[in-house]
Amino acid sequence: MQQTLSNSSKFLSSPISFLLIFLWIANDHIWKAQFHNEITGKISDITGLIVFPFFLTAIGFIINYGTLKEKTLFVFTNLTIATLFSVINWSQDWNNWIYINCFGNQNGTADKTDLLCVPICLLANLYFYKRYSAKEILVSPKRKYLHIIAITLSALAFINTSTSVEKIQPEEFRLNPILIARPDNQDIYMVGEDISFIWYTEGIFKEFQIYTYNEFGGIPLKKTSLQVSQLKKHFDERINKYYYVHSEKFSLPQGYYRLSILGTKVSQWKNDEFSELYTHINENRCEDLKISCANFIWIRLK
Amino acid sequence: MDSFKIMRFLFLTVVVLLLINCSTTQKNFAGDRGNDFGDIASISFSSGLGLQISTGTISTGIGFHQTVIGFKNSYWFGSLTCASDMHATFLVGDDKQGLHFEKFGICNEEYVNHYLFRNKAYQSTDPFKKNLYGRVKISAALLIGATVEFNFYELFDFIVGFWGYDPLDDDWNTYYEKIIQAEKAKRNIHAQPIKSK
Repeated sequence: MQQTLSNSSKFLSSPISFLLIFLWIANDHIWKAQFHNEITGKISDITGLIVFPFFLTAIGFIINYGTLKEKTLFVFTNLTIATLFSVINWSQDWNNWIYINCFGNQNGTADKTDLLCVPICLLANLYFYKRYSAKEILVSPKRKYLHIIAITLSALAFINTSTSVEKIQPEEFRLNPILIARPDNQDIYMVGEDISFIWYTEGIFKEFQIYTYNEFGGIPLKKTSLQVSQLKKHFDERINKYYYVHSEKFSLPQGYYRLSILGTKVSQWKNDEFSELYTHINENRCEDLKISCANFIWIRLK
Repeated sequence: MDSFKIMRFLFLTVVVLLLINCSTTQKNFAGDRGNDFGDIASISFSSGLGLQISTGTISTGIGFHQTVIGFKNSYWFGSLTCASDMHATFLVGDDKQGLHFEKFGICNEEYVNHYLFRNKAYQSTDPFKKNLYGRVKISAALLIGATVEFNFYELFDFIVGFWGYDPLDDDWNTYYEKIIQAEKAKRNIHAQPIKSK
């Protein structure tokens, strides 16, 4: 009795599968580079989500012939791919992490609208699987070659889509240029008492200036300039960050004061790219190419 | 000794220790104990898919979760705030091997105080924080879900904190107080603790 092809192999060697693989490769190689819009983004997702589970099922079925049922493999590959696809499109952090671990690069871009492709493609896969399981296709030399070509092309298309260079977005802990740990916001001191400043920074500065304003802002009431060469840099082993300490007497009258530490740069700050934290600080006050400053903190002298 | 007597003994010990320590740095000591207490357990509501269980650094399950809102380390966190918590596991993994990812990021000054200076924030590329070795954490979601966590190491840290120990390096008030006192001593100035707010 002549053997019949597995359902996934029947689909892979069908004209629909070849059309999808063609679209997948053409899109990644030509259309994405030329147009790079919503449509080109979705073509890769849809074609990949349909072809790749069939490809993995076919490979798995060849390896595990007789051990696992093809239907079980098909359900497992579909669910695994749908989950991984959802994860990489849920957030850029997860996308970077999966791309680094699986493909050794950070070329992926998370796009939540891609999640819409998941249910559509799962339904399409189920439809194709049922349709081709109803067909009886006998193994012939022609079919065998088509099957091998389809598997090879699917593998190439997958490698191509996972290594295409679109965007490199390094993951880095983006610390505010200067973070004041002490005084804590709303600390209370006695008039004439020594106030100790502790601030963290990863930037390279030549000078720090501590500004004191009254509660309404305006012209600074007090300015202390500190040359970095005169300060000692300490290392906080708990959080792996460097900090500076400085103490000085505050002889201002009783009242509420606003303090900020400003740093003058010697070179460009290493995290000049956009970050959520930068936006927040910008809304408050200074940030340009030459200076950086910490958020305002409030203290009370009594 | 019955349980009532044990409880009474523990309570008195705590009060005595609090009084001894309070005489020097009231705000800092009490603040750190309060923070340590808040570290022991957490609950949050998340968006995501699947089931994940973490014991210490090892996580198992299939799923991904992003906290929407929750309460942890005595403060609110999640994507509705400025402290984002994410974790994803595929089958099994920890911070070095397998398919596991997690991070606890912050994005403004307020959260820097609560999470960064307290040694609780971390990125996916950072080594696991010490406190994570003592956790039992369960997350389940079907688009929306929840996460509950209990941390035995944090409980230990809270208890021994009354004797002045800080195995998790998260007593930030005491930590900075020591730096300030050392700085003042260096300047030959009589050291005074920061007054309470």
